[in-house]
Amino acid sequence: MGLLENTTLRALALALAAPAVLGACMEELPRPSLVDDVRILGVSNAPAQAEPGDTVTLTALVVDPEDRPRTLRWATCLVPEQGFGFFGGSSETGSSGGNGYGLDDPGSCFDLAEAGDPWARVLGEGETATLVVPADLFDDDEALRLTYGLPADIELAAELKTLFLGIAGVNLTVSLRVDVAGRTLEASKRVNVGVPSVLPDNPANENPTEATFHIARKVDLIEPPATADRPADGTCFSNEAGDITLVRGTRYVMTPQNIPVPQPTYAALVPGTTTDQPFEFVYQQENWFFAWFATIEGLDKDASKGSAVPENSIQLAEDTPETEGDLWIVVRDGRGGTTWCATHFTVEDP
Amino acid sequence: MSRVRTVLALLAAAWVLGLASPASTSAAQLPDELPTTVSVPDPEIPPEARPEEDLVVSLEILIAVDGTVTEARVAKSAGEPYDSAALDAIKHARFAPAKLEGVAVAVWIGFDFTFAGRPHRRSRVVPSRAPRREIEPAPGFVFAGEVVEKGTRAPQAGIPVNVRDPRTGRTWEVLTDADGRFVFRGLPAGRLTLDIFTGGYEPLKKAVRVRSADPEEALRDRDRYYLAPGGLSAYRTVVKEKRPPKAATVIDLNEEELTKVAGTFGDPTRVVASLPGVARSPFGLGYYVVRGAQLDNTGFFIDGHPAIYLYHLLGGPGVIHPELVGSLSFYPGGYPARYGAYAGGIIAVETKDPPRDRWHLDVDLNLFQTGVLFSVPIDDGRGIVTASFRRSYYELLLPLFTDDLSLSFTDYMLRASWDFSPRVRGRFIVLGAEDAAATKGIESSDGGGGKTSSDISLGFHRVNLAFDVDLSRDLTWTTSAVWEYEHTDNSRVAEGDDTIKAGLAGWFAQLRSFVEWRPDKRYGVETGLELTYLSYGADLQIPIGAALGDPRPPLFDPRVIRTTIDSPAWGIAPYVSGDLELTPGLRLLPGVRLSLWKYGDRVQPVLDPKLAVRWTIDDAWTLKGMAAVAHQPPNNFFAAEPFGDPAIPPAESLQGSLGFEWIPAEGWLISFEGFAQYLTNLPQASNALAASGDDEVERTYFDANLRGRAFGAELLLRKEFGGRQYGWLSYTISRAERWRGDERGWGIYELDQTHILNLAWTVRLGREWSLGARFQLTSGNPYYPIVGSRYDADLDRYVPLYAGEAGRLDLYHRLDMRLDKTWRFEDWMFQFYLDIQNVYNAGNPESPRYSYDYAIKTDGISLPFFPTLGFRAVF
Repeated sequence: MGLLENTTLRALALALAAPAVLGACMEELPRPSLVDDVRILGVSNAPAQAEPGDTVTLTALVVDPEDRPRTLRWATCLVPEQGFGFFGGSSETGSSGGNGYGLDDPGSCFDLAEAGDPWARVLGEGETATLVVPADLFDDDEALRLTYGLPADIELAAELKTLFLGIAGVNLTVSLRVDVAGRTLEASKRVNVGVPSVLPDNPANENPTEATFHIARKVDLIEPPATADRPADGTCFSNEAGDITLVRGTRYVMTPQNIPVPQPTYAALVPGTTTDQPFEFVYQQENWFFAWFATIEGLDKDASKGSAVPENSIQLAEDTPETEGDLWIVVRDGRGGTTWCATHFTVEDP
Repeated sequence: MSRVRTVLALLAAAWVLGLASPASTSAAQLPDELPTTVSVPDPEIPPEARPEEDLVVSLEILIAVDGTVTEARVAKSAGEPYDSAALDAIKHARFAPAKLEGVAVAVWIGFDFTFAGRPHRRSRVVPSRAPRREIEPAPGFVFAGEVVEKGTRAPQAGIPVNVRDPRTGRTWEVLTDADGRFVFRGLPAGRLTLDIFTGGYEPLKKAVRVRSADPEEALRDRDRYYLAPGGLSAYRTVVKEKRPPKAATVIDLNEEELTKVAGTFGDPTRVVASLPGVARSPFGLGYYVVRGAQLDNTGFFIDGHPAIYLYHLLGGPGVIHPELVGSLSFYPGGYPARYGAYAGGIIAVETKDPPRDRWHLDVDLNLFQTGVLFSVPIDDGRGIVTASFRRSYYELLLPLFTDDLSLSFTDYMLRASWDFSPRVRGRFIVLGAEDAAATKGIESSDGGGGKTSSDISLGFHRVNLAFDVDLSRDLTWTTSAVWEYEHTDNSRVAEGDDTIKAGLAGWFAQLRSFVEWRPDKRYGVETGLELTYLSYGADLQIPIGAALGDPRPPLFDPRVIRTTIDSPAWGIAPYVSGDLELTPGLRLLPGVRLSLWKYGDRVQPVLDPKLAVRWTIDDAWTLKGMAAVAHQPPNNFFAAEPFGDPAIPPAESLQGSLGFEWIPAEGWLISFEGFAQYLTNLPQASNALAASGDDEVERTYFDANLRGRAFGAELLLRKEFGGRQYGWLSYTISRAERWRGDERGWGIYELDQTHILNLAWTVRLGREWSLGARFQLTSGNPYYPIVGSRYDADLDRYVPLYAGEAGRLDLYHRLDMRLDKTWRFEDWMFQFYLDIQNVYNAGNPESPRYSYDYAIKTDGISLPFFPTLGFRAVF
């Protein structure tokens, strides 16, 4: 009888296992770590977490192997958070729901601004932009209700609102459009806006600007120090200032440094685990994530994370024709904080 | 007429000399081609004359050159009214005449009608306790023997055996008895010629020496004669008993039809995928979309009880040894009231005993698995014990290709049947399966840099005890109780992450008891009661979503919660169904099932009425239609706290169909049927926040707000099993939709397939070769094409932008082929088969695959060319 059916779970198990068996036959697709055309690799806001009335500086890591002229345009808006719940908004209607956009897509603030959305506005052009958070953002509950889809017929108690805004806040979405050689790329970044938390041990988030890296030949079996000074010039490696040299056919290990031990904890509002408790407040630990990019193939991994095996390696093929390239590492703390570094390298024969 | 099973076969030696009488024929010349059946009507007997045991009337008939039966006489009487009914029926039979050197000739043949006993009394191949012939003193010499089928050693009853004295030309004939034995008396001594020529077997001619005058000695020294199925097997046709269908549409498939369909690896339960109304399931996973319903709306039943799953993991075979699958009935809609709790269709598998004539051993070995079946009769066939076991050995093969993956499955069945008396029969079945798939030490698919291991294991173990009791000639009482334990365990251990585990385990017990009363072929009633109790629990360590305000992390970084679900539930379901022939040919099949379910916070009564009508206008045409309501309770996960909604209502389906069946020629069937289905209260995942009654906010993880509808038409052209070929062509055109909300209205269902064409055909090539092919041509599944992407700088991921309107994947087409060959030795058989899925390696991606930024679209995974080679020994 239907009461017995666990078809959903079983079908899910089968669906997960099938690609493992059959996936070996699939065509190779380009790896995200290879930068062979203009790309947006990261967007950062400072401060990482803002309050109403704050001025936020927006910057972007836009890379182009051909170094073509480009224009960066910025906009901001307030869009409902999609699929934040336990099941991520999944349903049988599919990943898009057929609405013409993805459930995770925060939408384009440019489109909303053009459509006259009251929360959306264009911020201007330039390599950086400035976002001034409306001082009256939380004067009423509208931003909160819109962001989280809270029922209109529920009165939010003042203390609940304070708790909510002090922990979760509201994300202002920033849209970035990059025009290069007739093409337009678009990216989005959330700027978390809240109020000072009333909870202890819950400081505002900061960008992981202390992150730096150590590079060494794998054969040297060097155990890098856990901490080091970050290079002042924005390059990546604490032990190799400026440009570096990579020898064809040699594997280099790149190890993140300055990962806080333990990583900081912070208060978070998570979806509840029961139907009658829609939200739960917990302390959870930050985790740093590393996204690796290079203009030449050779990176072992596209991404890594602090809690697993954060280091990566690079080995350029012995027949690599290029004589120089660029390497970027973007660091994210998983709650909106972002930073990056860039290193130019030359390629040499053994 | 009902309850008459016509057994054609038992072709006596044919005396081909114009219209000569068999008695006067001594120098017989055999025809090149024997007659083949065109049509043989069922003999008519009054309902009250239905025999307790099978009765056989053996006739000798003369088939004229125009195929009519011009003379017939009783060779072996079963008494009245059976003899007269058989004679009357055979006069209306039509045959394709026998041919000698290409010219039609008249022949005398033997022809048997078997009047089946009570329906529960399945006749065995040979009723071993049937009375044997007494050996009576007779003048002259005695010669005895035993006739069995080559390979199977199945005794051949009712076979005419001739001996001829070459010195005088005189011929004697006897028929074999129930054990396949024969005795000649009054023979001259010396070398005689033994001649056995019967339909479906190669003629056997052998010189024998007659030297004993002592019947006991002759019997003791008797030889065994092996009949090899031959090129005339097309004539050896067993027409199944045509019981009135219990629904407007039911497709019943017999053993060979179930096991020789290409692309199924000989797995009976996979044949369903080729039937009308069934949408192709991805990767052949074994879940079906029937008439546009949800995957879990179609129920699997084994011996009348619901089955958790019918197939092993990853497109593996069914969980029942193929030789123990007795029948499979597929009800695409409007299923009988005997079944319940599913909003779609029903796939009902009945297991069976092997023949009780002797012990049987079956060993099947192919590239991926080995299966063994052994059965032994008890007390001269009064009972039988059967054990089967199958085990895959993917774990031996996979290391040749990868160390990261292991896969295995096991299934078993222990089955004991016992006839306590002719009226009371019982069976005890233990059945189970265990599957496991694991990956180990592979890099995390999210690129997080760690190693990941994952395990999936699932299984079930079932005990079933059942009794059939004949309370009277017309009344049968069946009671069956089942207890089943089932588990599904998934786990993922990744370096740097908390372990994720989802374990679901529980048991259910069910008692079903029903009586069938059929005093007359014109009406019958079945009423029963089903009691079910189930207790399932889940132990979960699962990730929940990102914290509010924080973007989801760039890599999978689960925050794991631990929780358990415990959800007992029960159900009571009385039902009654009828079968009423209002006027000749017009048959009503009403049924109603009242279910009372307790799950979550809900005690839910539901009423499932249904009415099917079959109107047989004449021998060829039948109109059919049905209307039904079906309900299905939600599964535990949807109804149990903390995630589920204890008040979630059951799904409901309104079903209807209208069509006809046409029999253009004996053995052929064309069925056409239009159908419509409307589904409400379908459960779906949700994430809504809503105000509860006391001004609090509640979250809903599941709701029952999904609605669906489907309509279409099904065409089935079927050549029934028998003859040199059999199979079917099915075509379904349909549209399945789901309600997408007030703004968007009805939208296409993700698993909708507009056109579904299946051709499953098997040809017996002769010399026991058979070649089967299955061709599938279906519309691609709908999907929403990705038309662009935006880079999410928090997630370091491109977010796809979907088209507003659904598109479809490319047309799906695939050819499977199966080649079977049997070599028969006297006491055993050796079989070889080659089953190839996707013969021409058609690329049929189940979904598109994109590059990281969705700029490049390629084909996703699909089932490749996949052959298996197997050998089977049957003792």
